[in-house]
Amino acid sequence: MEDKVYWKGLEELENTSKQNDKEFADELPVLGSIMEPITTQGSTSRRDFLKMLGFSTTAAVIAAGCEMPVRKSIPYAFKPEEVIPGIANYYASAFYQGGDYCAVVVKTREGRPIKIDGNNLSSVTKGGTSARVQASVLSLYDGARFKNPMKGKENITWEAADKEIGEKLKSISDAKGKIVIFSSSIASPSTLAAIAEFKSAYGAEHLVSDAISYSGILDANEKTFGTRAIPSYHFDKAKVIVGVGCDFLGTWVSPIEFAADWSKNRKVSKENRKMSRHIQIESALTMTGASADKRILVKPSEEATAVVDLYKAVSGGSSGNAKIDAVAKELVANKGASLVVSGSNDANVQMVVNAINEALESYGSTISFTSTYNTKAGSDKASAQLLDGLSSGEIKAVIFYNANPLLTDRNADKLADAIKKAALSVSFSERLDETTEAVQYVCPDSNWLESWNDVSPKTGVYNVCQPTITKLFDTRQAQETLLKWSGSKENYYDFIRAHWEKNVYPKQSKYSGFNALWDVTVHDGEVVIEGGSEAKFSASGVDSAASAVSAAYSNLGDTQLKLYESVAMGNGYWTDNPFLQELPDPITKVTWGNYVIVPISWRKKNKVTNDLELKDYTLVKVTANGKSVTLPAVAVPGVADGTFAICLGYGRKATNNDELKVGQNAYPLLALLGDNLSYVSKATVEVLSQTEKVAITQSHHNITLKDLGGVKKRKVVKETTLPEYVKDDAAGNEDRKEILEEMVTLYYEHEKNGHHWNMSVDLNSCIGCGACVTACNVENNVPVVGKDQVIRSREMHWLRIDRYFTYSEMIQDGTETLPGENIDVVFQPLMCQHCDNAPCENVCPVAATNHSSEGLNQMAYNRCIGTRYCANNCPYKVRRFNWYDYQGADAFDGKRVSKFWANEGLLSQTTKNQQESLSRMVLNPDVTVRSRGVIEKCSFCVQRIQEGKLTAKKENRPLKDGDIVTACQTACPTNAIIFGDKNDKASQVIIKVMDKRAFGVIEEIHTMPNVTYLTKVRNREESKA
Amino acid sequence: MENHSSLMRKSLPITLLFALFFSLLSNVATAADVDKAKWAEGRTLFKSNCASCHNPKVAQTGPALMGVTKRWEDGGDFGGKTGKQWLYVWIKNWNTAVAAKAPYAVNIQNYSPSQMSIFPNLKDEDIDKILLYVENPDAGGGPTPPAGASGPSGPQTAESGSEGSNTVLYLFAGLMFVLVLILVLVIRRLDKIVDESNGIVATPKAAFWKARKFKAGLTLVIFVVALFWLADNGIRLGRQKGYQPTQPIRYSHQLHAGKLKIDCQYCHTSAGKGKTAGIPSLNTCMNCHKAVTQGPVYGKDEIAKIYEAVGWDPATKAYTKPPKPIEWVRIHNLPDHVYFNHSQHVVAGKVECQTCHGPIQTMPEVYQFAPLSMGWCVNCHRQTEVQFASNNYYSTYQKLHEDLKNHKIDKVTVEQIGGTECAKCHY
Repeated sequence: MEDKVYWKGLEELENTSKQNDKEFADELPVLGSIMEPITTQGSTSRRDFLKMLGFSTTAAVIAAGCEMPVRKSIPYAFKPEEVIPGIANYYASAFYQGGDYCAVVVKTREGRPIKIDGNNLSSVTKGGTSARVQASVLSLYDGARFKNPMKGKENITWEAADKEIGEKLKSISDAKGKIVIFSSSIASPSTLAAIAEFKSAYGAEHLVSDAISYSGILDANEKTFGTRAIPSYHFDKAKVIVGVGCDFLGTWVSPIEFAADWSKNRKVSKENRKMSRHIQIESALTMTGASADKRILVKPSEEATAVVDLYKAVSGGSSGNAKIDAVAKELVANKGASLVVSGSNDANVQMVVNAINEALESYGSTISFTSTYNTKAGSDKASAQLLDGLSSGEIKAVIFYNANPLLTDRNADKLADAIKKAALSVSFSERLDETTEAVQYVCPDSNWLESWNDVSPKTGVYNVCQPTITKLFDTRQAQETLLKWSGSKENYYDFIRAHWEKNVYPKQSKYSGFNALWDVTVHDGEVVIEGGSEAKFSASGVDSAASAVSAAYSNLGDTQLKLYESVAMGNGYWTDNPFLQELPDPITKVTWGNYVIVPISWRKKNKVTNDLELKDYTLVKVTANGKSVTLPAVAVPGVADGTFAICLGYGRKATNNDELKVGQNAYPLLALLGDNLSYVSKATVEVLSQTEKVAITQSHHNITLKDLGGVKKRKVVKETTLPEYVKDDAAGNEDRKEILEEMVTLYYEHEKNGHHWNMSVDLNSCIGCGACVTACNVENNVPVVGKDQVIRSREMHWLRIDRYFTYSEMIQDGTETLPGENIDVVFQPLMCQHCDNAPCENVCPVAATNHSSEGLNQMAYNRCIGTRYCANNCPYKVRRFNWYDYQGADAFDGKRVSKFWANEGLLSQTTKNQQESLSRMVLNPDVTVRSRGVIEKCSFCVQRIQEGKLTAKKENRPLKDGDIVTACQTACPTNAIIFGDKNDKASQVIIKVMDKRAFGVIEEIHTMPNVTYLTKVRNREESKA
Repeated sequence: MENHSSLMRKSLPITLLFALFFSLLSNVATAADVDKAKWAEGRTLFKSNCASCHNPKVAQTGPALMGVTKRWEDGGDFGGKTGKQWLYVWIKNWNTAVAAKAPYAVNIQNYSPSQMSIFPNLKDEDIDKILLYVENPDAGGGPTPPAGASGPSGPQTAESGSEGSNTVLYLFAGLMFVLVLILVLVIRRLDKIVDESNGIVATPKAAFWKARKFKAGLTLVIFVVALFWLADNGIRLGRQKGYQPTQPIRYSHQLHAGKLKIDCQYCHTSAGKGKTAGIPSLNTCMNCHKAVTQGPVYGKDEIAKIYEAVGWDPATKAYTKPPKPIEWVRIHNLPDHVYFNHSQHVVAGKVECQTCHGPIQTMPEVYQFAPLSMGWCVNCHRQTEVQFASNNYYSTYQKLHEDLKNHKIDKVTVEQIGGTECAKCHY
């Protein structure tokens, strides 16, 4: 363990690039025309100084003579009873977007949704959220949304749209022409009912296709269980979990739910020294693989064949692959408490997986068909049907709902031509996308935060979504549009209620009277109706499926392409969201764009540039299935030889902001295998001579260890293995005792009479998903800075997730011990550590940052003069400097966009959009919007602390543990973050802080951080390293 | 900033004073005839039982009651009871009077769509007292004129007063300076005379203003004064103590809070709940002003503005037009980077509204009483005690409790629990 070395990137390990030890890579940018003559002279002369002094003094005097502007205070004419200005209201609702589901509570202030939290009452997502859910509130205030219906590029009224489209629909249906609604999976029972009304009115057809397809597993389940549905997976009941190319913590089926369940068995403590064993068999490194106890590296094609091998081994035979046999042994030893999942979209592979799980007696224990997912229902045949129907002229009218096939279809180019043949094409999209650009009419749907709806993510689980704001624009819910076109006069709210009264209410017996059921569901957000039965497994076809798999994947060659869904971007819908564009990918830490993930060995062989400082990355051209994309190559450790991975969803062509058109569209590279899309294919890779800038944050804000003895001496993260932990609960953290004993200080200690805020982060539970980062951004008005600024290391995130690699095994090569190709990953969320002995506080010349009696490292923005001494002196590099007035804090109403900066070309369009009044509606009114030239950093959500304390005071009671939760804590799906009062002896956080696993990051320099981390424990044999 | 009000508005308090004076004079005669104690009891009874619908002088939900005894007496005797006796019956339970077909009762039963409440518990002598009050509402001395009304409005007095005393000081200092200067000159002259008489001849000197030291000194003085002036102005930038803008409606706190003693939080409901005290929405005004259609100073003019804004038609007593909110001019402005919470101070701190808002109950027009500077906030936090013993929240602060018990400290101020730290207000 002693010489285990952690590194963030290859450059750090290999020492090939100068590290970004500086917090601020650049000097202050040239201040444009004002300072021009000064800077060109090389140095500032005394005369210039006097000029500037005179100018600023005059400016100050003029400003001092100004009168204050008259401000108006406009109360409601009739105040709604539930609104009290300054007090937030919370509404239970449900988020659903193209297969992503989350039960949420929407926080509104004065009628504006400003934050989305998880709903703790949910039986599915259990209070967790994802980065996408957190960021979705920003999409509500997107100026790029359609503001009214459109005919081509022309604005029309709803009356005109209804009339014209209604007439066309009628004439098509009268002439027996085919009308099609093309959508992604719809989990809303009432929406499906509304579509059914439309279908019966016009004899229309509903085609369902998901951009990220689950068609393979659905087809397999239909064949082996007779039901085309994905069952519930209980990761909390499994002792051994095997994921084969399956990113179930990041993107697969229901990641928030799975992360919550999975983490339950990963939380070790003094009392509970047991944890599940998680083995991941994969080609490219996924977020799930990064959290696994053991990773087996295989080529993309072998992710399929490994399943067949595993099947052989589990059913008693031998696969001929020792690693797989060992996995099988563990699985069989835990029959009934093991679980195998595969991310493959090949029905044959999934049939074999089903057979494995049947052999392991998983059905009824770790997998259950009593409740199946409604969120995945698409078929890959549907998109082919659409293309054929449109090309042949059979489909006369097409309506696109929550689908953007012109981006996400592998035959998007052909489809684009085919759509032109339709007599009527309509899109319900909220904002401009590729499909919307090609259709005749746009009938914009309202945002989910403006709409009534229902969601049934799984059978038996029903959510009501309620509107939390009046419609911002002249939009109309798609369901209401469909009902109207079907000739119904009912509004959608009444329609939902009627549908529930008829279909949901009779299924339950708990509530008497429909209103009782409805009111509880609206209030709690969810009602669960038990029922449903297990399905019976039928083994017929499994053997032929297994041989089909062996045949199909045996000759994909040495260079293979793996296409995957990114944790932030999803199928491409979220590329419109700047928060998610700027969220670093959990593994590669790249923002704003996609890239080709290449193995390290290949990079070395091909001498591909990976310059972290200049961020120049060599472009490579990847060709598969006759199509090719040119993208920068980013080498990632822990990627199997011959694996080239590209994430989908980027390369948008039609958006209102050109800066969102980053990356390349990889959907055309998809292959078709049987009936289903294949995300794995044979490829060729060509190295080009050009390079491209990649906004990668990997090397930003490094914890500076150079003057502290380097990476070998200082431990930023600590880890151990389960057997060691069972022996000693301080395993991996043995040095802490010594560190604490050695601490002596010359400074007086801060007295903490009342509260002492502390945070604990469990490295064992953190999966690196980034929900906390996005939640922090939304809660604390953290701006998006744009790709150019990220390249300059200026991203503003208060909370970053440091991702460290370390070699997991050492291989004996003759006399030398060399690291193997497999690596381990540690995710470490790093925010301001609120040091009780803070280095930043001592160096501030104006005492803008100082310590509170509650242990907070306070930051007074309006006192800050921007010297950035604090940031330079912060060993954790968590302080951020506002290089620009990103959110228009300093500007007057209507003149927010500073013309000067904009004209200099220094402000990105994304930043300018943030300064618009509409985008500013998302800002949290309890948090200051920081202006240019000041430092900011994590405040431990002090606004929430103050609010919690005040509530307790007003209720005349002591503060309870759990009254105050930080934004990152509520967002976390795995409860890795615990916040509380260390002085409260009954608090959860004191238990964590006193745990033997607890350590502070480089606390030996005596910063006395108020954030402690819990050692990562891996469930594996003692490390050989 | 203080000069926002028009000349007419400034003279308003004086007009008010005159009005009050004359009304007092006119009341003197009646006041003498009334039994003060009974009148006061009557007023209390009226306020608790009748005032929600009746006013002695103004017709509200119920009719104006002054002269009610005479009206009933004029209604005539019926069924062995005098008109006044029927009035007693009506007040206790009007249904009885109507059922008995008393002519005046039958006559007025449909005065208003709202039915009158019944008061079976009122005794005849109580009714007598109420009637005494109702018939002589202005007797009993009348309300004392509010302090602020006795001169020009508050802020001007305060400002000019302090300025006056400063002027005297400056004048005095100036005089002293001149005196010192004269003395110095006299001494020098005397010295010269003495020297001359002793035969010492002074060598001629260059003028003192040409000396280098003087030039440097003068520059320094000018620089320091300019700097001081700049800093002073800089600090004052954005401060607006005494700010008294003209509001769209001449709403008087003096009348509502001072004279009528309406609780502050009746209108500013969120002061005890949230961050802002909240300017009441128009429906709060309409709670009373559906009935109160006339004010004592501006008559119907100002109240008509509420009706106009809220879309109320006083003739048909119905909302007929869409409401438009009133755009009040905000007086108390804190910078955006300051978090201030009213409920923290009102509920948890039990601070009186007047501590920060001044004698609001005497202000016909509101002005900013406190400077709202950070120094002012911090000063109060240093001096003010928290509700340490009575609020269970503070049980967390065990050490301070012990210190109090051991008499190490005698009180716990806001500062002692961290109330002057940055992140208590700035985040």
